[in-house]
Amino acid sequence: MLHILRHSPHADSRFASCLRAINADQSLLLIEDAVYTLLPGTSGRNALEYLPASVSLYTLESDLLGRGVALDDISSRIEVIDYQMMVALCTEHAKVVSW
Amino acid sequence: MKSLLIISRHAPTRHAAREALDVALAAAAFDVPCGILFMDDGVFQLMRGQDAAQIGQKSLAANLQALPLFGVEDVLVCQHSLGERGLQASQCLLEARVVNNAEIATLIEHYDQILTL
Amino acid sequence: MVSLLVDGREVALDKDGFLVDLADWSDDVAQALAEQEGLEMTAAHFEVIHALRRFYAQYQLSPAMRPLVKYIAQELGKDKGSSLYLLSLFPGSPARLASKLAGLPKPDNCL
Repeated sequence: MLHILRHSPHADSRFASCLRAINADQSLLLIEDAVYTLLPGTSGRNALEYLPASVSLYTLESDLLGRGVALDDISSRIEVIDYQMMVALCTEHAKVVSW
Repeated sequence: MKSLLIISRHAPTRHAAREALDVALAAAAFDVPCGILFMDDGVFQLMRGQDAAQIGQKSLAANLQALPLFGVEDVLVCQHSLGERGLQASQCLLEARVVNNAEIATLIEHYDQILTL
Repeated sequence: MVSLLVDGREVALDKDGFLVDLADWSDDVAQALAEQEGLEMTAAHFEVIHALRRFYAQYQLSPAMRPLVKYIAQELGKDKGSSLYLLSLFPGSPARLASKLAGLPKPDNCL
């Protein structure tokens, strides 16, 4: 199962809802304004760090660069991918949940 | 002339962010005394190093830097919103004055009209 | 679509005489655009127009009158940063006319 978040973690409750709904061994991809979740020193980032290590985390490079979120600041457990890898990720997973 | 405070609350990728800036520039062009307050996700507009071309957008950051030149002198940023998002005023691309909650309340009292976008 | 012939090259203009493609701009194109407006280009005109292009490169906006005056004062000195000076070079509507000659896109609004 691949969960995709694309809204700012501050704008509404979907970030929290997604975290409640995610199981170990599933994947989470942060795109568009959801990449703001990755800024250091935020509650969103801490919540991601507390996810079980078996949850795979991904984010989209162009969305980071477009918003000025520095690649150096991204946690090492998050894999930074490009569009092609995102397409591959979507096809690899039997189901995709867009929040 | 009545003064106008625009509260810009959305991330730079949202339409509302550009609308807030357009209102500020338009008001200033008509000599309306105006200020802009970046609050909530609006503070993301002030992040340095945004490369809008990466996500197929026009650079809002470049336009924002023209605010002082257009006569919008009162550029403010909400301290609470910055902190919540892991940002610091020193990282902002505009010289924005950092304001706390009490100061925001005072600003809203001070300006004749408030527009939240 | 209207076009302008500069050095044997066709330059496309929109219905208001603004360049369709910013990349088409050159000093010669500015000269040709000015002729259409019945304006004689001098070094003083070009100085303002080059400043305007720097303004656009930095802020990605075509300036309204007041920011233009402020910016010219910053870039070219206080004596040139006045609406009178700019009006003497670009009669009528300096911000609009100079933007046009500088090859900037037509402003989204009339401000």
